[in-house]
Amino acid sequence: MKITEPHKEHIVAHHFANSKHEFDSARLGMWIFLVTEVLFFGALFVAYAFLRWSYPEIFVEAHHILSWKMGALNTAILIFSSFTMVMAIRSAQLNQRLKTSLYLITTMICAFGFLVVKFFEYSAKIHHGYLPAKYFVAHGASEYLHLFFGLYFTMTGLHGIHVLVGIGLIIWLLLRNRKGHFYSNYYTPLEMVGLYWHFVDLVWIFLFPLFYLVG
Amino acid sequence: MSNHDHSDHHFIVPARYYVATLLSLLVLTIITVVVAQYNFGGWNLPIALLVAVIKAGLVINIFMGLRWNRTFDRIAFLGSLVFLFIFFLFSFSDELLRPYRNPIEAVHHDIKSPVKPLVKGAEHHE
Repeated sequence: MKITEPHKEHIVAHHFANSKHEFDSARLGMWIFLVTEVLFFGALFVAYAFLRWSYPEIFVEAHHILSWKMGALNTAILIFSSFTMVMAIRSAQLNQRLKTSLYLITTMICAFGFLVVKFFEYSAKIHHGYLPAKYFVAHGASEYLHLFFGLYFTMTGLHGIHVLVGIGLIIWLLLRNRKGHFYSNYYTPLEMVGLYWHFVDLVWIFLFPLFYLVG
Repeated sequence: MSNHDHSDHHFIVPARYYVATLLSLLVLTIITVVVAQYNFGGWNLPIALLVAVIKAGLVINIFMGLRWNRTFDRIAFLGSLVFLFIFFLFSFSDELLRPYRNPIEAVHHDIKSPVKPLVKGAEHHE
């Protein structure tokens, strides 16, 4: 990596007064996007509460089917990846370009690790016929267990898609960092992807206890 | 360009804040897993949610840096929680105020029962 190469000077877009104005506007926009994401996942959490209220027994049964060890491992992976993400941003603030890339690569490896664990979990469920709604072919003790797996695959699947998008964004950041686009006075894309990535972590922080732990 | 000096407007968070947050989050994860091994009856869900809310608070305030962001960013984000609360409130006031509680009993209201497995032999046996 060409770390000795000087960074590319960022030009503030003409409709912003200065780089602070530009940065703050971008961050506000990102927060508002995350608000829509909260409500997007919120709808599914309402569905979760509704199902739990109507059929508490399926959550008790599913609690014994899902592996909390896998869930806990994925929680630790995502929390660690959030940490490496903030450290990547911090390195950019300190003009440490190589460190930024290394932290981003670590974050990406964690994201892939999360998906690998998820892959093993999904294949075990599919193998045993724990599929959503009408595709459900397992023998459950409770009559409505298929509803649980409908919700499980929707929520964790949607979260998994967010992780995939995050990987794409991190690759984009790595390519830009390689070209020297980020330095102490311009790291807006890093900060924005960071916010997105922490949000993905945030969703998992709620999904993990609600699906894996509370029976 | 502006007359303001904008070379050092970014607040660089000391690394120890991030390390402390990482460790706290991992400890809280261990706590929630250990607590889940015991049965507290109706308290299982509130305890798990309380730990999750504390973890979320740490991620939002330190990792996402909301506590160092502008007030307007905080208002925007808190707004989402207000609307999420309204979402829950209206959905559950509807559910709880219906004459029947259990959807299975709703059959005589001519309301469709929840989706059932279509596959032969998928019915429960135990």
